[in-house]
Amino acid sequence: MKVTFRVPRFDAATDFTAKYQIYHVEVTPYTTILDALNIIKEEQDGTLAFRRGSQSGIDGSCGMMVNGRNRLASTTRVMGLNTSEVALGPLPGFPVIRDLVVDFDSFFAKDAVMLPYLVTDIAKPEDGKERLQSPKDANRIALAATCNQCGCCTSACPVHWSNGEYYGPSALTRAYRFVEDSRDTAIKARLEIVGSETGVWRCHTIFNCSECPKAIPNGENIQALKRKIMLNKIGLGRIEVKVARTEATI
Amino acid sequence: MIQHDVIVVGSGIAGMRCALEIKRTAPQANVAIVTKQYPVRAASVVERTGIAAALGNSSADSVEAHISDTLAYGKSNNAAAVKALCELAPAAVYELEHMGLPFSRLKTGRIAQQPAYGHSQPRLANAGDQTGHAIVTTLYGEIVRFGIQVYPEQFMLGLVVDGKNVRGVSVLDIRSSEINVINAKVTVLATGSYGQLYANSADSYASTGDGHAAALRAGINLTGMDLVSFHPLGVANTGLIINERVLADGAHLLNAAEKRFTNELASLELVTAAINAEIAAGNGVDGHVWLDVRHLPTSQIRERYPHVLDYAEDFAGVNPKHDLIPVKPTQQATLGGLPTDLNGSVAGFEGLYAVGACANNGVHGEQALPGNELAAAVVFAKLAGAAIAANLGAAVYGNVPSYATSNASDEIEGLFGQKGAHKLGLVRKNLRHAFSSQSASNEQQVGFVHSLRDQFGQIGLHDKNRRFNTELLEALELDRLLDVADAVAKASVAAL
Repeated sequence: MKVTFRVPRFDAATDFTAKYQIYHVEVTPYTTILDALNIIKEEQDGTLAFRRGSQSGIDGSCGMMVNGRNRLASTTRVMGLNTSEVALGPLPGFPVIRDLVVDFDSFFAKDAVMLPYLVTDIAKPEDGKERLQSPKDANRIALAATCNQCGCCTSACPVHWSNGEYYGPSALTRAYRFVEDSRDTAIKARLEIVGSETGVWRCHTIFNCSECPKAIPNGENIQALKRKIMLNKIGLGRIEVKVARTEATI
Repeated sequence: MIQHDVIVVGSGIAGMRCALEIKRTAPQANVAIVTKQYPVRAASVVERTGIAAALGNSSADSVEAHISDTLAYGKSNNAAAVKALCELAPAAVYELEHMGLPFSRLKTGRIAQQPAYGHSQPRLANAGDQTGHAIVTTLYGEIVRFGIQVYPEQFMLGLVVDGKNVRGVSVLDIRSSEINVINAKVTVLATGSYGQLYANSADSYASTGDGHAAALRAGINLTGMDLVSFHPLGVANTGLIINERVLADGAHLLNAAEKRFTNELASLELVTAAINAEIAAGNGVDGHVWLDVRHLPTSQIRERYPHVLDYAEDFAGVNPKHDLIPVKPTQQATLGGLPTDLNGSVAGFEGLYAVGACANNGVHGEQALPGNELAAAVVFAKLAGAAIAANLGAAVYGNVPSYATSNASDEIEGLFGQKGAHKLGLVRKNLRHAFSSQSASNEQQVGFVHSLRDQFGQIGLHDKNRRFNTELLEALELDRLLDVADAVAKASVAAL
């Protein structure tokens, strides 16, 4: 099947607005958006700029807008879109460097603010082995931990478009992943971070961010963080005290 | 010119683990990572199955059993490296857990251990079926915690070498096409595999053997370059690998006539050969065969290998309950690399280390036991980090020869000036097909690489923009991949 791709061409150094370019690509049922971009680059136009990585949706390099929705190019089959016209665009709300390539520097800087590492005062077991964690507790963080930081969620958030200081759903899901981890004891510190002026209270529950390539419910995660902060504030909830688990308490 | 005590090239599992160990043992050390991607995008994320370590959580496993399984599978392993790997792997896994890695768990609360091909015991610790990604993300968190500087989207052009001393690397800033030299007392190559040499590759687009090529250009002989392993169950044209456990559980392989053509329970090597033979005999469909899991209970698929459902739907657009899944043998690992000792030191060169998939200390022998690549990446990167930290006091910066910058800029300006008729993409495509097709002999490959090298000299670079020029990046990668291809083809001929 022949499919028409409409792709914006833009160079932040010289252009004020994007020009659109049309490419025609013959696709099979297996052709992904990324395959089509590779075909364009190899056979038609070597100047088109886009990022690519694992080709399997696991590294998050190829987030972009596909017919109005943020998706990973490598996990989106062209024929699955049920149309012969595909409009591509860079992730909205991020500074465009060139064509489909956007600047992730501030995105990763916000991630780093979340203390994206385990902070705990639960001592390591004396035998040097693993801290115990029940399968249920492991499952609480398993999905959030698969976040590949492709930026599709943060880029889909209208609040982030108007307020670039907002941490955005990706960084907040990262905080959520540690807040929910039965081994991490820095809940207060993280709730303070996400409860700050540029944190969860900027979220207006639009839930665009829950349309995630990894099916992570980012919007719900943000609301869970809000609830934790509020219940703690009005004294109805308690920040759970996490302690070392033993085989008897798993 | 930028200076760091240690520069690590590559932000995958090995590179980050090594940098971390240096910082942890020598906090005053000024260590930085340079990477052509963002660190969390490193190619290590494609390793989906677990990390092998004899924790003994799911059975009465032992280090000895892990050693004997590894030796039996790899055949010609470096026994000392295997011993180190298997003895240190449990501690390495516990250490990742202490860093917060979200391992899948047993009811006892301990790290779960999955059975895997070639292992006599259930031995793979896993984080769902995204273990490589989980290790990368966890190590990246530690890089943030320790404040280790990372230079993202910088392409390493080459090693800066003065005689037998390595003084750092020259890099191209992908966003601006500017050239920088990073001067370092110690340089660590952690640049990953050369899987992109193969058209059907499970590796990332980034796996173009940049470190291998830099080593070749510095006069280092690479070893084991012909050791490349293929997995029978790659989803056709995607580079995604379906876990071979489906075969043990009764999945069938079918040809174009939808008839079984081989014993699916044979060794992976034999199954791979059988599929290749069936396709070569013209009994395949568009260069692939079918995997049939229709008769397996969906609940079992969802529980044991959930990725089968995702891959089939996302990449092939089929429902495995009713449809056949297109599969063909897919390159899974490349074992060749810079010859190193167990500490990652490269013999004959001062100030140069190599870790991860670009290094070859012989631990895997002829083929890597599943899960051992991840284990080796963390275990040996840690050993290298400790060795570097211990010897850093005596290390010096040394002079950077002036040709380091001029060589790099000659290469870039030369490419920008090329106006030939050959298409970059076509040369790359032909190269990758030559290494995947079964028809070309190794001798033919040597000649073919030679002719592609000539064609590369006559490509035209259409993109003259200096900002984020991905055509330039691809040309640089292909240039290096051609050097690697030459080494692979020659090693294959020599091995016959």
